[in-house]
Amino acid sequence: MADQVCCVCGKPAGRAIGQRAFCDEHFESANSQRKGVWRSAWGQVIALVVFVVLVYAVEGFFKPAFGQTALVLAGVVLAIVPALIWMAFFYQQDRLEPEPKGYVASVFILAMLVAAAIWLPLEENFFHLSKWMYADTLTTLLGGILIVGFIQEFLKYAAVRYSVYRSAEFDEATDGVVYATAAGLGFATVLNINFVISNGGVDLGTGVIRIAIVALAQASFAGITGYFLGRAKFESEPLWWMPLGLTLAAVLNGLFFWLRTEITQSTVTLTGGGSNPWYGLALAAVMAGSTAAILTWLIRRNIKSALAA
Amino acid sequence: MDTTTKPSLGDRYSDWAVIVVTLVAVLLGWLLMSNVQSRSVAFEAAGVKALIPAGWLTDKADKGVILHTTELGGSGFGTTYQLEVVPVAGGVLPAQVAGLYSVKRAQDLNTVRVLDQQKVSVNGHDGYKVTYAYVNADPDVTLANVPVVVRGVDYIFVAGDHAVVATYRASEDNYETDFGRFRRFLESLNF
Repeated sequence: MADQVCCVCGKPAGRAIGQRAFCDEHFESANSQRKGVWRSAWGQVIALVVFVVLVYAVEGFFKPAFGQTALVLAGVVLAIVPALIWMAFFYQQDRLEPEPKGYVASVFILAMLVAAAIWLPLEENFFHLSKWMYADTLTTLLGGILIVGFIQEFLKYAAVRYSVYRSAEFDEATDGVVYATAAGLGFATVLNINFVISNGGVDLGTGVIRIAIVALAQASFAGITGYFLGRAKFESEPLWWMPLGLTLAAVLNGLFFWLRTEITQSTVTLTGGGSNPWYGLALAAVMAGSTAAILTWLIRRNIKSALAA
Repeated sequence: MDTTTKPSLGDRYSDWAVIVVTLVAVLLGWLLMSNVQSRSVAFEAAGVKALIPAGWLTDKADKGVILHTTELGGSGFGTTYQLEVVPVAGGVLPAQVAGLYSVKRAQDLNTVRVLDQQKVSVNGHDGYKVTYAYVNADPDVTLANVPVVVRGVDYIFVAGDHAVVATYRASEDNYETDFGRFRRFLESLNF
């Protein structure tokens, strides 16, 4: 151990987790539970649902008559709100050991850039998803996993892996979840802004539901990749570890894409027709809450077993 | 951002593994897309056989039009294939039919402009190709849709006492992208 250096800061190491050596300071932080991160994850889910209900109620009660420009502007503002809610919760809960705001913002912006510069052109100009992905159930499911899931999750992974991952500030396993969630929200913000602009504005009530669904879903999938990234940095994981994490996030992304299509799709009956976006919001909230709970449990279990060893 | 440690060999292999897995998945997805887009069903009417795209919306035949099929999904003008059988005098040339057909096109379509016309040969059938553009406005005046520019091409072949006109129409944005599939449809024509 004496000739080994800390895998975070490069100083002489005195402790180890698996085959990774740590100095005392980073051994402590690598085993930190960071309750604030999990509280902010839960808080975000609840606050976002409350926000959606409020906007929906206000829209239903006042029935504002916006022009198209105002609708676009309102939609763009709504698209940014999920990220602001998460940031507010995160910094409120994480003030004892805050991540540098600049780093979190950089990852958020980087994810926005890759979404706008890579994902949207690929989706619209190369894969033309709307032309073939809804041909049948199997195609929707497989296309959702192989194209939507893998590309989106890889881009969010890359936004973290090739920026903050090797920095000294990425010094806890939980940081993987924090930065990946920021990447997920950056990605979701661009998807939502693109949706608003390409539709020339959105109906505020149903638009805010879609915006919340996309934000919760993208943040949750990215959180899974972040958990695998965090462990990959601080523990000696096998070669298949990170591909497994990405595959898991991509499969969940594809499954969610398909399930949301199934449960919110339009129905036509003798008494009328329409779709119910609330089911999609319920699905996204349950998935985001479950993901946060599972990741919390996994990280606590890892810390216990690392300390016991 | 300050970096502290260089990536270990394991980290680098893990990076490559992630990239390889993603590429393999996207390649499989691309194969799936190609498979779905090339699915077709056999069509036969008035002595004309063809393979038409599966899952498209096919209208009832009308006034010599034996096939009118439109792509579902997406928004705006749906890419459309049409087959029409027109009675003609024996010995008439495809270029002459094209001349008659241009009158009909001008009556049916808004602000149509012919962009190009030339002789072609498809699967050993000599024919005539006319490329054009027009403005498509939804006939339902209660819909506040902006009219769109549509590009089209008619392939005209003569077989005995009738001409077969294969038409492809797509919005300006989708014309080039969707043309490859129409080409396969055209090459499947048998009359």
